[in-house]
Amino acid sequence: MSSNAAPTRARNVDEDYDDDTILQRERARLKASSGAGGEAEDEEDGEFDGEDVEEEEDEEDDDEEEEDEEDGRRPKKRAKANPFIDVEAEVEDDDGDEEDEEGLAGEARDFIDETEDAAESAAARRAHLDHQRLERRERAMLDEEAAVIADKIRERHRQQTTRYTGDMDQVPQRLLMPSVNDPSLWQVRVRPGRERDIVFSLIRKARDLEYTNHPLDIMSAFERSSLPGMIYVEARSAAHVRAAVNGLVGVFVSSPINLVPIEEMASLLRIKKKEIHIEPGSWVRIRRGRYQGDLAQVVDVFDNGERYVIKYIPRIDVRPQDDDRALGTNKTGGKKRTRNTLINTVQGRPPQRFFNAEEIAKVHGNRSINRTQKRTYNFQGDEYENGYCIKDYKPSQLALEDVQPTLEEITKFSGPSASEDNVSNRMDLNVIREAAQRMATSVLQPGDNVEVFEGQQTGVYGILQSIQGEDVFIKPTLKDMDDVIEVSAKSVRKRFQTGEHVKVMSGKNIDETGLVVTVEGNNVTFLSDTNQQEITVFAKDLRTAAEVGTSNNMVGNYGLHDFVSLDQTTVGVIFSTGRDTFRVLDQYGNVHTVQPHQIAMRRDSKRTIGLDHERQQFKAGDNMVEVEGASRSGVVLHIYSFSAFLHNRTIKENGGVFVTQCHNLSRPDAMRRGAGVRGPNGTFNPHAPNLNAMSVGGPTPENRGDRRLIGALVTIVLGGYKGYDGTIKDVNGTSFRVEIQSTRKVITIAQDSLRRKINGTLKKLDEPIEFGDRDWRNGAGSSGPRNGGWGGGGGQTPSGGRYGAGGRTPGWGASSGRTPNPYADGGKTPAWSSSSKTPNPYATDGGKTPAWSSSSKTPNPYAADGAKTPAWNTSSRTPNPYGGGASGGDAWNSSARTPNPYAQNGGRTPATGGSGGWGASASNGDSFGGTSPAYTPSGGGWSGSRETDSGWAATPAVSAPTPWGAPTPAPYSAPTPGGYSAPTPAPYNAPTPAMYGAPTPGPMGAPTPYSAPTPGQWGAAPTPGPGAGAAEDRNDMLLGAKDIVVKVVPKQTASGPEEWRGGVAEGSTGRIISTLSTETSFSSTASIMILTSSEASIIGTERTIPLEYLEAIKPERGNRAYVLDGEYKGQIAEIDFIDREDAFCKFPSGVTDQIPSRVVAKLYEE
Amino acid sequence: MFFVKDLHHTILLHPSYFGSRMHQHIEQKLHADVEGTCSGEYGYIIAVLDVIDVGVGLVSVGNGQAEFVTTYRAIVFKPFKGEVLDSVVTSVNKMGFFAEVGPLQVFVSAHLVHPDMKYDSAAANACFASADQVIEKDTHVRLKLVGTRVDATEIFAIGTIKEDHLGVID
Repeated sequence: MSSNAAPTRARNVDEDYDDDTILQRERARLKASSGAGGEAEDEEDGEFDGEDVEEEEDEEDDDEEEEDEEDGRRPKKRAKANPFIDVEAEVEDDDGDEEDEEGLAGEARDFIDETEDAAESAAARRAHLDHQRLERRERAMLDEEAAVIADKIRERHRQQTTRYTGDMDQVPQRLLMPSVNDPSLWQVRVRPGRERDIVFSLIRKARDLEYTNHPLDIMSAFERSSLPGMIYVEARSAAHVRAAVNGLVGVFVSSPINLVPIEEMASLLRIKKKEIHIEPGSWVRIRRGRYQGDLAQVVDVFDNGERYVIKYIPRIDVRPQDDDRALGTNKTGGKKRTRNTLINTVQGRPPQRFFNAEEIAKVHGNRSINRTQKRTYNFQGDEYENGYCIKDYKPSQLALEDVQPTLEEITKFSGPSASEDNVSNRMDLNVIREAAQRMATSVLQPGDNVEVFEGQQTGVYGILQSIQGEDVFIKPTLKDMDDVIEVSAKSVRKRFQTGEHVKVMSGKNIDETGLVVTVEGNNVTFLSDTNQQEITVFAKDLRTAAEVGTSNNMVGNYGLHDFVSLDQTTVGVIFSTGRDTFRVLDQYGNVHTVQPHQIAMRRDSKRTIGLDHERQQFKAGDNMVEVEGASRSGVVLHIYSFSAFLHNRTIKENGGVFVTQCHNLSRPDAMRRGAGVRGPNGTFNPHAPNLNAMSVGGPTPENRGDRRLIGALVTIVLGGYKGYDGTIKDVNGTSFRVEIQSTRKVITIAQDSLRRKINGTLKKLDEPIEFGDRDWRNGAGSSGPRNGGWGGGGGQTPSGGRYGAGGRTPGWGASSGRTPNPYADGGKTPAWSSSSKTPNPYATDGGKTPAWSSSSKTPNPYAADGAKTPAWNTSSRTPNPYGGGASGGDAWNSSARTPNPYAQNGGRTPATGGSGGWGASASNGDSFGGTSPAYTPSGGGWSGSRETDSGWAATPAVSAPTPWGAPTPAPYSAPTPGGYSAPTPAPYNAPTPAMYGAPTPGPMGAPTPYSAPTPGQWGAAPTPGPGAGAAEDRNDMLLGAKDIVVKVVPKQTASGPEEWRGGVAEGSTGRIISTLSTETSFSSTASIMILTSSEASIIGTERTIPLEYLEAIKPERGNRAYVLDGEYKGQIAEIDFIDREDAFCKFPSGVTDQIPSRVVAKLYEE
Repeated sequence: MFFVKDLHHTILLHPSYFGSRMHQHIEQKLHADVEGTCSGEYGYIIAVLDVIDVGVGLVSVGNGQAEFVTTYRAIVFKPFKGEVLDSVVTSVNKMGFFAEVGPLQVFVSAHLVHPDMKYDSAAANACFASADQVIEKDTHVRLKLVGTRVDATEIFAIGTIKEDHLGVID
């Protein structure tokens, strides 16, 4: 082999070889080859054979593509080349290179084809060549001589020039730039991947034809690995180029040959040379084949960096197909291609696995593995050591730059030999570190907390001030170091401290955030905020950060608040995105953590319309409020079927996304009083009366179940939980949430399946029970169970509710709600007995009648009156107590004996006796009672209320009699205004005419109306019909009265007694001179002559006072009395006898009759 | 660390509450609203000590609700880095253990447990155990906070017991 050819061969394989020199050398070679050719001739035969062997070896390698071509071509080449082999091999060998073998062969063949035509015969040709060779040799001798002389001259002068013009080599560079006079550069399209081969073919062709009649008119040719599919040929014209490349395989002759502009010529040849130091221990990646992308480590470097021995983790197929296994033992050529074709692709390759001789032997057979003497194995032509595959690679087959091994890869790589191979491992770390530091400046930012870890300043840490090129300036935070120091960026790493909140800026865990748990050198371990897992990353990838979670809202094609299908039946809304996962809230309220591939599809709900609570349409983007439940509001994100997904930033759960039923939604502006404006602070006062309950005739409120049952002990009598005991935790309509006592499990179960456990007996939930709080239900009668205490109250005593006073007064409503209708059980409890024996009747009675029990909490006189309530009840059974005498009388009497002030007060007059009735009715919340003739005594009632501190008891008493509060404060004429009849129209209306139609004032059937509140009882009431005066107000009675003595008293209003501010002190008495009926909503008045007063100045004067402020004074025995109401209304009688209830009057007509004492008024006696 | 702090809270009151017991109600509401909550600035509000000023209710136009800006004095608990606290372990896993200091959750990584203490997954309750100490669920542990993360609704902390005088409290 010639001396000048050898270096060429070596260089040609160097990718990064300076192309400039290639060009020049190729030029030189074109000139010099003629001289060199003959000398090498003798060696050619042996060389050729040797190469043939080498090809065989190559074939063993996995370079199968090459094989393809070779196989097809080789026989042809041999056949044709034989006659000329001696001659032509010379050419081939001069430029020969293993890896260009087939290109060369092709070239040779082409060449041969051409010369064959030219030669007449072998002999003639040989003679011709001999001559030629001689001639060439002579010429070369001459040339050499000249060259030697020139060299000597140059040698002599060069030293001086270099010595004196240090910068001169830059000037020629500039002057060497191509000009228009120089040959042009032409770009030729070739088959990608074959550029280099074609260039070599071209060079050989040029050399071969150089001394023929048709030499190629090209100066040089080169290719750039960075420009695939092109070669560049230097020539004077395109035609020359075309001629040169004509016939070369792989050249796209049809495509145009382009001229490279002069200014671009230089840049084409410019080399951006990168110094890559590959040393044993460096990381590289394999570019192609089965191991594409795999990390490998350089073990040794041969041939000046032209060949590397690397080790990597093998990917051996441990499940070979049958024929493949056969190949392991029987390596007959040609069959190789039946191997699994996918095995060398990234998709089909086996996983990385350390070589395990036993395992492989099991699969591939013992004979497939050869043991060598240095503890290595040979398997299928590769060498394995310590589990790694050791193999030679050329630099072109490896990626040497930007290797960036990840921590995982390195961990895996150092797997089995981590302990034994300490040296290389240490190198590993160095390499990682270097790789990490290569980017040092790009990851550092001013303000970062950094630490110097190598060099003189090792250990210094501080804050990065600025970066200049490769150096950084650090302001140390150490005590005695104040000066800013400058260190290389490579020597600096970010510094993190345990507890810092960090965010990953790059890599697999990008955007994860967490708290640093530990720092070990360059590795930082932190606890992720999102999944509480520990993650270890390089410090260079971290940055301290305040935010939590990921900033990225998109994963794959899905983003935050997207509406997605998880499967056929499940849809959901993404409410949070992780690094590669979502959290999805589905329509059932469950949360799923899913990855993008688990999402079937994204759905569109843009056009979906939902129907809200009021059957109004709404759509995505609307603001809606929940009607029930937590009353959450939010913007509708999506609607699916009957579910709506809403978003409210202030809700913390599930990123503010929640799901609810469409019909549970309402527009915020449509939220009416009934629904209430709810929210954390906007809730209704639960103690306020239910405004809905005011109108009993209207629709009953939605049945939300009996919440009073919460906490009740129940037994399950049906279903799978039959026999279990439990406690009611929640009520929703007729379904109950019951916590099973034994298992503490909460189940939802229907009302029918439950029985209450009371004293060992089972009762239905809606069945009344003997004690406590259930009687209200009975008393409520038609109204049924209500959703709240106040609602119940309203239902029980419709008129009371109607009458607003109750409705407006929370205290009343609440307590009456809790207070069952005393009528219900009143009958069982003779009021008089209890009240007569104890000042606080509830103590005993409370146990039996809820009324008392509730009122017993407030020891007030009204409650005491309440105690008398049963009196009315009895009276309701005997509707006309006065007529019937006994029971009613008892009731009154009993009340007379109760130690309450007004009862005492009224003890003497029947009217006052009525006050007991007032109290009673008041405590029932029955304002109807307020319209009864017993008005006057009710004054006593309220006066009593002043003494009590219980709001509720007082209020009804007051509210009931309020004439102004009543829709029609009208007198006798219209005692039963529509308002009264409204609540329970049917029962109430019925008796009304009876009351008034029946002109029997005598019996004072007042009690009857009191008993009326429950319609059922009311039905009984009409019988007596004597409710004549029942609906009278005291002012009504006073209307028309004349010359009777009255007392100024406070008026009763909804808010309590209100005294007359007209200048007449309370307690003053006077004589009615005249009364004025207004017949309108204005109050009727009376002109009175003041008789007695605390203010002496007004005595004897005449004043006008509304009737509500007046109260008739009861006559005494022997007095003359004016009958205010009833049959004898307007007549004057003489009182024979009077007590609290009744008065026996002797009328001028001679008749003596018994009338209620409250309808008689003392006549003014001069 | 616990502090007594004067804080403000805005309460919106529905008109149905207006009346004699309104102030009482506002106070109730204040307790319900703020106790047990966590703000990043002040930490956990443990308890309201007293209500300094209920404020003047301003009726907001449109819905009739009144807005009261109440001033109250409360005990707040704010964890600090470097603070030493006594905690109760709530769960143990191989990465470390979680402990609670009242409302505050603290994670102590296995890295921040003394190397003597090894994670023992074979035990009935997962635990960290050394020759003489065992950290399992419900163990009382004295720890030092090394970092806190403050969210809108909670504070999370990382603790260490890898220092003198830290660890299991007997």
